[in-house]
Amino acid sequence: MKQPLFDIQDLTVSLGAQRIYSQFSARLPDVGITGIIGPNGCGKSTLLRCLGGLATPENGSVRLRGVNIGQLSPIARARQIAFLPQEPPVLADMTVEGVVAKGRTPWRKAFLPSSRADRDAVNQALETTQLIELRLRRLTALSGGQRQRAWIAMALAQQTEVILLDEPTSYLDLPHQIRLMQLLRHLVDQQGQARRVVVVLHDLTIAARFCDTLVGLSDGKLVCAGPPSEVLTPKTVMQLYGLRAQVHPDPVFARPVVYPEE
Amino acid sequence: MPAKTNGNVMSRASFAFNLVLLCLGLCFCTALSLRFGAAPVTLEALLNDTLGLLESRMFRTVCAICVGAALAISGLMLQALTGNPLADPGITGINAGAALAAIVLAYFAPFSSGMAILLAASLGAGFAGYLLWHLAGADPVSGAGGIALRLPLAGLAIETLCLALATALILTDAEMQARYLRWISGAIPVVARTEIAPLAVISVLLVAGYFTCERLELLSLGAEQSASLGRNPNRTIALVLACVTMLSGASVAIAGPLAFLGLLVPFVARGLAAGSLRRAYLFALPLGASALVLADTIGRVIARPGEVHAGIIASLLGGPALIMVLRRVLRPARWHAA
Repeated sequence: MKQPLFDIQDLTVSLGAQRIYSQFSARLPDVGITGIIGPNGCGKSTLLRCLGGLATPENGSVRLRGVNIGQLSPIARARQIAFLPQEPPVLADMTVEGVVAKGRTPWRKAFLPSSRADRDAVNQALETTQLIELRLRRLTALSGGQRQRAWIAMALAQQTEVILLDEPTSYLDLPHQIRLMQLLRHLVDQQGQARRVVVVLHDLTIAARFCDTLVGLSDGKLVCAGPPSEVLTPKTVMQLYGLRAQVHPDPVFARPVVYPEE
Repeated sequence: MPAKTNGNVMSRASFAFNLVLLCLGLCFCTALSLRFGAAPVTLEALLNDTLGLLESRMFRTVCAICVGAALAISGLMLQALTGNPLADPGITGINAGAALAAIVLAYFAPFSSGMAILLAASLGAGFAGYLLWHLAGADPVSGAGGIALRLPLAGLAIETLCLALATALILTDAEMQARYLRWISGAIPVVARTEIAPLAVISVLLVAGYFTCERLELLSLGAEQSASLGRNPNRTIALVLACVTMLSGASVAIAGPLAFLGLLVPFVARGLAAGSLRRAYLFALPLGASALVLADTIGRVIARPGEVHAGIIASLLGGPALIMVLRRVLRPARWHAA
């Protein structure tokens, strides 16, 4: 088998007194977009944090293409993995450009002004996310969709192989969800091997349509992993969500769609 | 390409223009403060300076500049740290904690050096800050929404308590009254003192603080976001709090606990800075300095031959201004509910 993107071995993680994962092992294949799905509280966000090296596991290791990320320095890690958590409740008083420039943090030297490379990376990220016109707008003056694009632009400016996103589509209406996922798709397809996205998603239809691989989690256990057409079946939907459902391909893209029977 | 960078050039030019304007404003306020005082003198007599008036006014003005800038900056940093536009060293009780600690020291060791008072005041500020963190249940940034009201309320409790205790200590003793009653109401010192330690500390911290702006801005995007970009959020919080408490300690050691300045100046500076903390920082320096120099000058002139302390003038002007800020801050909420 090809080397996996992320190789998780015997991971044990607790949040406070609650054990989220115990001896959890999984391999995420090296494909463009990997979607993590599962019911609320199943540990999706915690897994994403572990992949980003932000949660300290009590035991076990997470390897990114063979490199144990627990042993990387914060800066070295930040040069390889970009992580976008769910939006904070209070928005910083910053401009779009200011936020995107923050993505350069791991590449910048302390106390020095931004370099040519920094400015180029920021400009390119703004261009890719179509935010050039809005670069001097404040975050608070943006719509939800524009703000999500600003976060993604920050991750792009970070110039990492891997981008991790925690539920980027929640709070967005359907067209904005589609635009956002198309943007991610575009990023991955354009860069080939050089860019991988791992994204936590709630909407199974969106997940099935845009992801190359789906990873299903329930109660800290790996339930299924593979291409959407193999993973989304009545059986796995029952295992994941305890929901009786039929799964049929949609008439337009022939991607699996879950129809709950309850 | 020029079309893309045009907005940037514009914004940079207007930033420089505003900054120059504010610095000119500070020069003007400084000139006023040197020229006018409680004793009316002619310009000629002042320049010949037979009475040593100019020298004492200079020292006083330098104090006002340092303290004004220190208060503005600690307010700005606290606001960015908590994500709460109402946070400032006055309202959070940090200045009051510093004042109480300084008075306790003065009570038990009447002839402490300026540096000792500064250290005691910084400790007091730190303790008040610690108390506040726990009373307000502050989870930095991530929980900021929840502490929007609890922060100023808990701060008010600390402030009232500390100032009451400090005033009580001052009033028990005639000697203490003579030395500290002016100070606790926020008077800029009149006589030149040899103790310049607090002024030096403020100057150093104001420069150092500028370099925490990047980190602080990153933290304001969320503790996790900061960590994922390779900057330990706890270290940022510690750096900023150290800066704020020492600035507050030093400014209180010089001029007593001053209210409002740390709230209003950052508000204006952030408005001008259009979403950049570093720019807001550079604006807040001359703005805060000008505001306190002006308040001090007004206080010396309006009640000749007596004086109204800068702290009282600041509160007089600050009260109405605070109401304006509150209206601005509360507007989105009201709009949301409608």
